[in-house]
Amino acid sequence: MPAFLTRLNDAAKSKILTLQEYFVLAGKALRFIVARPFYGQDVVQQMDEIGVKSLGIVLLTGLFTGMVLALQSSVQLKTFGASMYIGNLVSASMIRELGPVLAGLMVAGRVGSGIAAQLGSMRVTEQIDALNTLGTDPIKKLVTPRLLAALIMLPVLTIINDFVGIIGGNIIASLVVGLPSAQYWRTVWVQIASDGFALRYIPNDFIQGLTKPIVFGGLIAITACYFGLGTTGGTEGVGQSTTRTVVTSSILILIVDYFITQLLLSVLTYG
Amino acid sequence: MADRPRVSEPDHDRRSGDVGPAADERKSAAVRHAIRSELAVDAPKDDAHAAKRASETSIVELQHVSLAFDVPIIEDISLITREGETMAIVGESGTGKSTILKLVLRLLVPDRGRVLIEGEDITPLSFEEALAVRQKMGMVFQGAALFDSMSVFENVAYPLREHTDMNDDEIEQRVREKLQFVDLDPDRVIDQFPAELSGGMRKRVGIARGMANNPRIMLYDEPTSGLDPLTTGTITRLIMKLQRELGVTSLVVSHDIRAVFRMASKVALLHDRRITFFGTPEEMAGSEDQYIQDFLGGFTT
Amino acid sequence: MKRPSFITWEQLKVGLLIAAALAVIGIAIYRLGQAANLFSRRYELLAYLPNASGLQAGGVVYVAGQYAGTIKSIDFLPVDNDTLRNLRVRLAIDHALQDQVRSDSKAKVRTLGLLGDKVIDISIGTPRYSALRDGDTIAVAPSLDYEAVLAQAAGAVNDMVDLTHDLRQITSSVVEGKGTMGQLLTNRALYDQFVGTMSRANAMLARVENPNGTFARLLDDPTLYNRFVSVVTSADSLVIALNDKNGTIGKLLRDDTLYTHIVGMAIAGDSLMKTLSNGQGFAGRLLNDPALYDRINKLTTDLGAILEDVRKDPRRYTRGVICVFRCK
Repeated sequence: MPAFLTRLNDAAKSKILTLQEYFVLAGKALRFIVARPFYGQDVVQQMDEIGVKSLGIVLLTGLFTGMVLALQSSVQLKTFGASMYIGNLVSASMIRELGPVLAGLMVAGRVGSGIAAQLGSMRVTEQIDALNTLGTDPIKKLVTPRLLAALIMLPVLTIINDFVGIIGGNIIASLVVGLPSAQYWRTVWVQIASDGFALRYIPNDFIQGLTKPIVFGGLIAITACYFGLGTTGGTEGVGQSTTRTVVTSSILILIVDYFITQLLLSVLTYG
Repeated sequence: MADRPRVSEPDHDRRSGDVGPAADERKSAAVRHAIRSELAVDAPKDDAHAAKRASETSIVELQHVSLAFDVPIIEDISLITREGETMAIVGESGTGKSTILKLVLRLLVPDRGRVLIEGEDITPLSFEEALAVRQKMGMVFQGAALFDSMSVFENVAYPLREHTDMNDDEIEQRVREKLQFVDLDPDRVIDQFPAELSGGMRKRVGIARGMANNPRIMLYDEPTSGLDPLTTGTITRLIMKLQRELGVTSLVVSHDIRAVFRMASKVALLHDRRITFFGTPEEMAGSEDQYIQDFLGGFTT
Repeated sequence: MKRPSFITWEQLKVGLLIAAALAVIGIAIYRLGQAANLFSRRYELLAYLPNASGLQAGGVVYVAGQYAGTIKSIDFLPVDNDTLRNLRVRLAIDHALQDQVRSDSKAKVRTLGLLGDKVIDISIGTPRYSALRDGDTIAVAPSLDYEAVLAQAAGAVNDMVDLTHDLRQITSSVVEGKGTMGQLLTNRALYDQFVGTMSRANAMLARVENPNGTFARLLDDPTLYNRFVSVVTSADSLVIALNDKNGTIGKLLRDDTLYTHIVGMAIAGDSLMKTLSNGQGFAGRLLNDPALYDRINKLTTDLGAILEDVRKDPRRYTRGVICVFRCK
């Protein structure tokens, strides 16, 4: 076999191995959610780290995203004489797309890098080995709490992001367009209601708006833990893992977002 | 003290490989003398006890173990450590000494050969079973590897919380006891975080954590590297105290030949991926092998 | 030493954050419930459509244009000869509106909203008919679908085309100068005449406006008016004088004596005329007897000849007579 084919073969095998390790890690981490012992304290600590400490950036992101959405759509809708539909536009965009994606990207940047750096330095200073030696599965002790915390906190952050974003839209709609708040909010509810309900009570928009952050939360946590635990090469390696985590999880969020949207649009019946 | 009389052997000049065996012998004897005299402050070893223990079954045993990642790390290594012994694995940096510890802990699985802990083959164990086997062992890492998100108390209490049903009071009592054993003032350090401690203190907390669950085997990875001579002496005495007072079997990986000669009852020299020498420190010092003499000389100059 | 107490601030912060998110969801669900009657009981109606025109399960159902429920499912019916019932649509409608939807209510597919969403709109029934119950079928009103509209519009478009064709012919003949309109638009002489007329009218008006002209005087000078007034006054006094009984005309107007006389005269005349026409008396005979007429006619003719003769030679006849009177 020619040399370059061998290299190609090796490269392919290593990529597939990476993928396999990634899913094995995800599978183990998910399995340990229900296995004993349950590190509740660690979960709460990570929820604080992921959720509470990201609240500030998420609030800012949401507010200004909602404001700029309202501003842009007010210009566009005015040409159709449809300025009263700002609420529909802002709520649909925030809940379905921008809320989950922007919260995901923010958390990937802030928390993903933090997790990768922490686990990376634990790996480099043999703390991971120490855990193993002390009879603890590092995945259970380190990955599962982070995964669980991200799975819970990302939807929470997204809800707050959406809410603040719609409030931001409200501010702009009343200040710039002069749309009364009551009408703005009415269009918001009408929009969500008109997108239909699954199982009669669950708004389709909420399913879409909450499925995404759960998946993104998992992506961020697993990606960060994967690169963090796989860190080699000392402090420099920690830096590399951090960068890789942010880049990979951001790209994954955007790619997976597309496929979730497509899947949900075909599964849910939009009215 | 079966090996003590050897200290009085005449000095040999072992400096530079071009001198004769007599010179080497003289030099190594001088080194050993120096080492022994350092240990003079400690109580003498209980020879009978040690001999009795040593005669019993193997605690840690490696049988023809080979391991390779991309390149071979170790090849066909066989070692045996009996109860109460302190075995030292010495060798140049990067020869795979730490790999042997990881094999013993089953953090790594050998490509060939078997690893036996208290007579039980751990190579075919599942990951979960291996976790249970590891509880028999206490490991002290090179950089102590304390969990820096936890206080000293939580670090030492960690194996207790993980594997025992002890209540908080019992745990606290045990943690204080272990910290006192490693000569730390529990009231002073218990709420501190690893980042606030000096290297020697961190190492001692690491030892306290390793022995918290009263393991029967202690593993040390470079316990004295990066420490000043005084602290090195303290840590060395601590390891010996552990072995002597608690009767644990110890496996020490080190390139600090002085410290090794002070505490080890058996020495294995790892060279070129293989064990090239296995015996008592005295036998090692008395070896005619050129490499061994170079190795010992390299540390004594 | 400090032992971590079970409830830490971290836990509370996390809890508060989760509580806030749950509160937002709760409020949203509540408001959505209001917006979409989420928590009302529903009942089911069936509608059979020839064509769903893009309706979807989960779509919105309105009653009289108000949100009332959703489309539960749309299923194909087995193929048969009835092409008006191809699809069965199950509608879930708010129970509170059951009284409004009656057996004369009609369901209709409508297009709604900015993006042309398809909805079903149900009209409200009348009290003469009974309310529809769960599982009943609702009548479907033919929806105004685009193709029908286009078919109608096509006829109108054809008419329009003919109309524009005619219009074009008219305008082209006009442009070519045919007919009155054409002449009007194209004939230069007509225009010139018109301009001349206009200018003369203009000049005339200018003269009218000349302050020394009759018209202007007529318009401006008060003396004429005054004279006119005095004339009218005189006429007035004349009329008064005429009305006076003692004047000639007054008597003529008011005294019936003259009238009596005239009536008497007329009666007399009348009897005279009767006598005349009866042919009695000389005058009567004169009028009625043709023999008399002939004789008189001969007589006058003879008389004429004699007179002629007389004129020629008067001496023949006057000798004796004149002698009678002057015979000299």
